[in-house]
Amino acid sequence: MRPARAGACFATAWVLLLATATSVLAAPDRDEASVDNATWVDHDGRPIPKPKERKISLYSYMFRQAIAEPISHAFDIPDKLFWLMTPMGATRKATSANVNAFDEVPNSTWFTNRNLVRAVRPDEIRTGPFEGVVPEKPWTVKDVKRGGFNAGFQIKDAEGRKWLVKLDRKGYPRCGSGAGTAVSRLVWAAGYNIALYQSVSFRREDLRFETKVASTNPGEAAEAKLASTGPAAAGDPPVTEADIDAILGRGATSGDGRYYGSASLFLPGKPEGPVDLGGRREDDPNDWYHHKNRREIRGLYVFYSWLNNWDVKDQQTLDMYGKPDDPSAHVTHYLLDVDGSLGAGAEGAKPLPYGYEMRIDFPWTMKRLMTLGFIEEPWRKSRQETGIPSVGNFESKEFHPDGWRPLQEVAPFRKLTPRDGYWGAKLVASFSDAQIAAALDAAHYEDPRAPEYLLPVLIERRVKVARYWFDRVAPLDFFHVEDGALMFRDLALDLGLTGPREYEVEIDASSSGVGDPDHVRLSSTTMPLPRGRGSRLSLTLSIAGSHAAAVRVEMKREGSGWVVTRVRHA
Amino acid sequence: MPHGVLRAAGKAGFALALFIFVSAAVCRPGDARAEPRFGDSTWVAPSVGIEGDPEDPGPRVAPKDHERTWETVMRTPFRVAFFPLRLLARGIEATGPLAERFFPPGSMFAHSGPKPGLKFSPELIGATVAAPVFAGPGSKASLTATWSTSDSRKLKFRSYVGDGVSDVGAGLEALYERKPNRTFYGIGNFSPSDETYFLRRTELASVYAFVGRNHLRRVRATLGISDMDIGPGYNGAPGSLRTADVFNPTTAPFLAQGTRLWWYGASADFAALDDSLAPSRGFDFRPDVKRYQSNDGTDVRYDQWRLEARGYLPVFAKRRVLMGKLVYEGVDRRGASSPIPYYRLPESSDRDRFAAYPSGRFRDLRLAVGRAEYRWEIERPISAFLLGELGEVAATASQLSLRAAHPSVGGGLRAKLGEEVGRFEIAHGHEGLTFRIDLGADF
Repeated sequence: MRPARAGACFATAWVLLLATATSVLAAPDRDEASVDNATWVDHDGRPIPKPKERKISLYSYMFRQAIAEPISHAFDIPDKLFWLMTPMGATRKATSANVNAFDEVPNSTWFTNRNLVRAVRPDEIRTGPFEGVVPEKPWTVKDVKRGGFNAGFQIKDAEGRKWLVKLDRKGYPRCGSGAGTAVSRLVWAAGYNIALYQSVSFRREDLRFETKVASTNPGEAAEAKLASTGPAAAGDPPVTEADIDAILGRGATSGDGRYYGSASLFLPGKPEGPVDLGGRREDDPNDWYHHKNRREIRGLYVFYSWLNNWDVKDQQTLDMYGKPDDPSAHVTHYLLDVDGSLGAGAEGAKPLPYGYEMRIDFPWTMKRLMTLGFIEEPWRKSRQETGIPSVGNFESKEFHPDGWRPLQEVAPFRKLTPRDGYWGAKLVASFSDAQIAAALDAAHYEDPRAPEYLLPVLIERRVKVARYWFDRVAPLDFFHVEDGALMFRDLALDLGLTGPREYEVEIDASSSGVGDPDHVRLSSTTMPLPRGRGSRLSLTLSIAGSHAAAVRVEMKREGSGWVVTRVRHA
Repeated sequence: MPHGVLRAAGKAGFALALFIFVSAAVCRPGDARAEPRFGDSTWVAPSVGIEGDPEDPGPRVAPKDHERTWETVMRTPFRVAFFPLRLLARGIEATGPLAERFFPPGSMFAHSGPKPGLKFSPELIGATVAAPVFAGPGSKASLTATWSTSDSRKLKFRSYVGDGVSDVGAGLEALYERKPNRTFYGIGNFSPSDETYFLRRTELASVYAFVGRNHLRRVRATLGISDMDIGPGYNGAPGSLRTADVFNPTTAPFLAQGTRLWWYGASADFAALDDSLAPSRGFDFRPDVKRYQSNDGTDVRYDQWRLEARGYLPVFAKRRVLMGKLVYEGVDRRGASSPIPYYRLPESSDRDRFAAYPSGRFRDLRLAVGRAEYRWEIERPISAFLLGELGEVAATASQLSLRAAHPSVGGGLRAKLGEEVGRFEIAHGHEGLTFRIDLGADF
């Protein structure tokens, strides 16, 4: 065959292949009939057969997230082409999939609207999820904590509940456990599913053992058990007192012989392995949206930037399948292990670059390479060392909401759009000073300097987050009609980030036929609505003199009044 | 008007004024209805109709998400083109569970120091079996066997006691190496660039004793024997020349004759560094003298000496380091000794290799190298570096001159990997560009 003819055949085959792929991909989904984008509840908790447990290797995951993904993105030529085509209307990032008509995330097995729609009372935050039960002593040791960087063990408390106890690192009492407890309260109040974490202290005498087995080599035995990443099996050697003593030797202690740590309550149901933050669980018919396209997961970037939860990876999540023998069982998705937050790290205080750079951060590597090492990174400039062992390394002065980085690539974070960022910032800004103080209170810091330091830092970071995102997307929200007027909240005004200001409104009343003016200027967050016969209104609201992206509001007439049918930020 | 009325009116007026003042203070501008504000602990969002639970029957918020069609169309050719790379990445990923079996992540005793027992570790083509702390703390014995695709074979045994735990210690080393493609270009600073090959089989054994707990401040006395056999080389590039076919015993003493020598000597390390593997400040001075004597009737007798000095200076921060290294090495025949075999002369290889020239490119009775490097950290534990170097060999010290030195300029990456240093270096000199990967570098 001649080369030209072969080329023509190849091109034809290619076009046919693309056309087929396009038509297949564009075909409507069979489930689309049961879609209502005005819903505030995404009904994804239908009973399903038990899916297969997902198991991932930490090394494989780290290789993919820290090396393969960044390189893949660096050579992502289509992405660069999309960027070039941006002036022509192309967008590099797809919009979030699970957003309702009001630009909000509906309740689901992933997320429950809490603080955004009704402020969670400070005492509820102090209590946290699962009614805030505490591990009653004495504790019966069942197994050592397997895998992970922190030493710990599994217990059954006096009430028969199962907990995982993680010790704080020697010299850093309450650093990891305090951060984990406080941050878990805020994560829960924001609306995410998260395990219950309690800051605990205990004495050696509080521990009981089911069997008395002498260990010939306690250090080696404990090491083997801790190194095992799998669950305890029938043939495993039992946990001995000597094993636990070896583990306790690495923990933080008080002057009076107490050990510090956190206890996390075992979640209800059967573990199905970590969530794939980028993909989708194919064997869960409820799992419709790629997780990288879920707004609440994308928005976690903003929420975690506030709290400096630098350790974000699949392994910090867990899918749980219903309750045993429950015929209506489905998968519920939890966040876990937020003790790598605030100023805490696995070794006690957080290493200084964490939160500012990824473990392998190609942009920063290139910057350092090109400047012969003379560039000064924000984490070097910042004064993170607090000198408070319970706090570690944490600050707000050099913190930049867009410059915050988890330790490795997180697929949904790469997909974050300004709309998602705005939603995440709204979540952050919804927390009052009193609520943050309540979360810190739950951590039971014994060093009074810890909450005194953390509260103003978290408040300042919250303000920075809100200012940054609210400067990009107009923070005009909660649109509703009352007494014939459209009312909304200016979140920046509510938060005291700005004084009273004016708003520009573009009115597209082409379908109303009432001849309303095309443009009005408001000096308050109330706008009288036309009384004519028109059936639909489309408004574009922006803040006078601001570059923040406008908000588009669509309304329709219902009876004699108007109702809001759609809101879209940016 | 009665006084009481006036007084009551005054009180009412005061109360009204107080009410207005307090109201004004409590209510913010724009808060005409005093609604709960967003971000307050009393916030309730208006008009949010959440009814029911996700478990209830009901609609989904959106259809299943798909990649945008036109994006799929645009990406498909690139996905096809990059598929082999993706496959490779998946393959590497698949080794994760295996790696976890040998090196469990997060093992809490990962840094607790060596433990007794046999340890097995793979080499590129070969293996090492080690017995750490076989004779108590500070002791180790290891046996390494490697083979290369060019048929080089190496067996190395090392054993020592007292390292880092005692003021005195001792060790034993033995080596068998058979390398069929060692290169030889001739003797002298201006030897031609055509390489020839010869085979060298080395059997070496030495015992040593040292004084100094810290290996950076230590004096060592050594006694050893070295047997080298020479033969025709092979496994060179096609058409490559054999040393014995190009040179003669005048231009390459002991051209095809092996020698067995015993030696004794002393070496020392006097260093004051802030970090032995990634120093940023300090100096390191390493003298080494040896006296060689043949015991195979060849009457080869000579002294070998080597001086090395290093200095490290931080450039305003530990992560930027300016450093320099000077090496001066030589051999001197004693009395009426036979000429020193060409394969025992100081040569530009291993730690004294000239950066932009092949290993073993230059050899003579004297060798001098001066190198300057600027290193800066780019991603812990990796540093980048720029280098400049001058290297030269000569028959006598007086023949060494800057004008005749071989220059190299280049750069690369350097990483502290556990207890070793790895380097990747690119350098350019008069004979072109060279690449070098060195695992186990000490500079």
